[in-house]
Amino acid sequence: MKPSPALKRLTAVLLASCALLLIVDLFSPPHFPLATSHDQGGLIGLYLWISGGGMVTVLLLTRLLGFLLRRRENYYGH
Amino acid sequence: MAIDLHHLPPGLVLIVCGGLLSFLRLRLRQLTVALLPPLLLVQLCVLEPTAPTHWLGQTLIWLNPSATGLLFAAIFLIALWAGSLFALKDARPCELAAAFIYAGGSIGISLCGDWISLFIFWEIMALASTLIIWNGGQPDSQQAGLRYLLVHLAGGVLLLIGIAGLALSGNHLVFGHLSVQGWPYWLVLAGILVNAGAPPLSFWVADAYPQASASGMVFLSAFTTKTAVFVLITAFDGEQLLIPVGLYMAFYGIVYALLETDVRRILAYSIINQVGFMVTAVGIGTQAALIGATTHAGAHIFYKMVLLMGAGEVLRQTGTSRATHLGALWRTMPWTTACVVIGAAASMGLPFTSSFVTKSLILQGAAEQHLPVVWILLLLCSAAVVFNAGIRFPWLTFFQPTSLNPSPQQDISPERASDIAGLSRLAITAGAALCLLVGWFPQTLYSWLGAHNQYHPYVLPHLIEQMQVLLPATLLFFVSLRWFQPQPALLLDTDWVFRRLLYTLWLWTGHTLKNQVQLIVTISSRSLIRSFQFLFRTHGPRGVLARSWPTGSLALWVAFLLASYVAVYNLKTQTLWKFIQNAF
Repeated sequence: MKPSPALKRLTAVLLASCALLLIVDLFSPPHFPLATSHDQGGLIGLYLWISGGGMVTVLLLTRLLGFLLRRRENYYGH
Repeated sequence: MAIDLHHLPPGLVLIVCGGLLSFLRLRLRQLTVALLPPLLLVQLCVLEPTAPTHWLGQTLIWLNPSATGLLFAAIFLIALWAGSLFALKDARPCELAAAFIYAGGSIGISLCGDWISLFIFWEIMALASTLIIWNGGQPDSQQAGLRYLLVHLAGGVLLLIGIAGLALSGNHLVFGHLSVQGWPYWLVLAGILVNAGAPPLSFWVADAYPQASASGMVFLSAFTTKTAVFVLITAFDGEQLLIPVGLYMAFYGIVYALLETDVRRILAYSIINQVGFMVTAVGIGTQAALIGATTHAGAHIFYKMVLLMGAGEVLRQTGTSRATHLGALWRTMPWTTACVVIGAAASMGLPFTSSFVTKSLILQGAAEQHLPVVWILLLLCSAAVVFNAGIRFPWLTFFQPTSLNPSPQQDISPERASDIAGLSRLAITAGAALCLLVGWFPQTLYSWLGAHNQYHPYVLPHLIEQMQVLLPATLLFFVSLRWFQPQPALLLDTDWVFRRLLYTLWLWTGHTLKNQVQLIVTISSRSLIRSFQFLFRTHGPRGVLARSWPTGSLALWVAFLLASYVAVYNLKTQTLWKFIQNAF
């Protein structure tokens, strides 16, 4: 399957948005999501790295599991 | 006779009305379906605990509403209302009746005050939901319904033994936090977890739910798993075992949904994924996590209802829910697409939608308890929602170019599909509106649970962080599209043990036993025949011992017998021996 031009454009926009988020995160104060008494600062773009890196791992693992778990549709006889 | 609205259990009202529903005329049935849930919703505002009643030596408390229970009951009533309006188009009367009884069971559980009443409602739910699946009209509805019923009856048996154990060990059976330890505690927990779709029996959700009708799955998604979550919140808050169980469910849902081709099965796996969040939150057990679990259960019911109504309408219009035959429906079904997009956004936790204000509380609970691994894994699961209900489902159903379909069927034409209309449109729109309302006004929801102004989801860093979670996952989804193209296949699950391994063992044992019995019968019959043949040979008309002998031969034999007798006699008395000694 070849990606269509629209899909390519969408991918580029998403990539740019991720980069923009990293830049914004550089200037936003460390802050825990909801309770103002907590600070969870540290790595810039922490959430982005967890999400991106974690998803790559999950996708690779799922691809591998796909080979093990997929069977023909009438595997159980109907 | 005046009806005391303060003490009338809404669950029982729904069960009784559900029982009568199939016997009502069409207009009266439509009127009941449209009016009863909102009337009961109003009644929730004036409910008061009932006095205990006694039955078979046990104390039953039909009504003892808590704030959490009332919230769950209200959400269940809204789900029943919207689901019924959606179902009025084509659902059989029997399915509608079962849905009312099913919802009655769920609401009965959320408002009851003791374990025995809970068990009664629990079993009513199991039977009514099985009826909904059996009314599905799908190719595998009957078989899947039977498997569903067996799993739930097994869960019910575990729960009943656990409750009996609690009673035998002298505990009061008031429904609340279970502080006793021992086997009754674990059996009750196991019984509840079966209904939550926990491992190793998670398969039943994706096996049974998609076999229900277009509207049936909307009902099924709202009640069973969420009722189990409510019971876990009430009785097992802070149980550490629930954390790994919930995380397993969350990841199980992601992996299987990614490999699945049927869009309704994708949504079924997404249910397990989201219930996994709630179960983990119950295990974490902090106030933030428990409020997160409660509000997220409500948010999940609303957005999953919208997504399943969308999938159901697609099934009604095209006759299929296979992603290999769908795509580009947004042109012909714009209203459905818009509502589904709102539901999908809510499922991902996009700002200003319901999950944005509920899921973050669960993550906050994990951070408060200093569980960094759990926090990271939950964050990852939040991102992964993109790969099931978030983007994959709308993409495959409404936006995927039809040219990508590997096996388009001639008889299914997405171009001929028409958009959702009438009461179904009203129902899906109301669901989508609720997804947005919860997102816009989170404090109303928080304050119901006694946490007004404690949590502030709309702060800039939270918005940035949530986008940091969702954008890379969305990017990866489109980059990896080629990897996860829908392809017709069946996914192995733990039901393989029952449906293949144990079945094969059963067949093998039966076959082996049959062979062994056949062998024994053959050998016995052959031996018997040979014995008879031997007897016939010796004693038959021509047998050695039975045939006529000449007189001379007879005399000879008689002489031989007499001589033998004399010899034996003499040997015995030693007369012959003495005679021989004397002679020589």
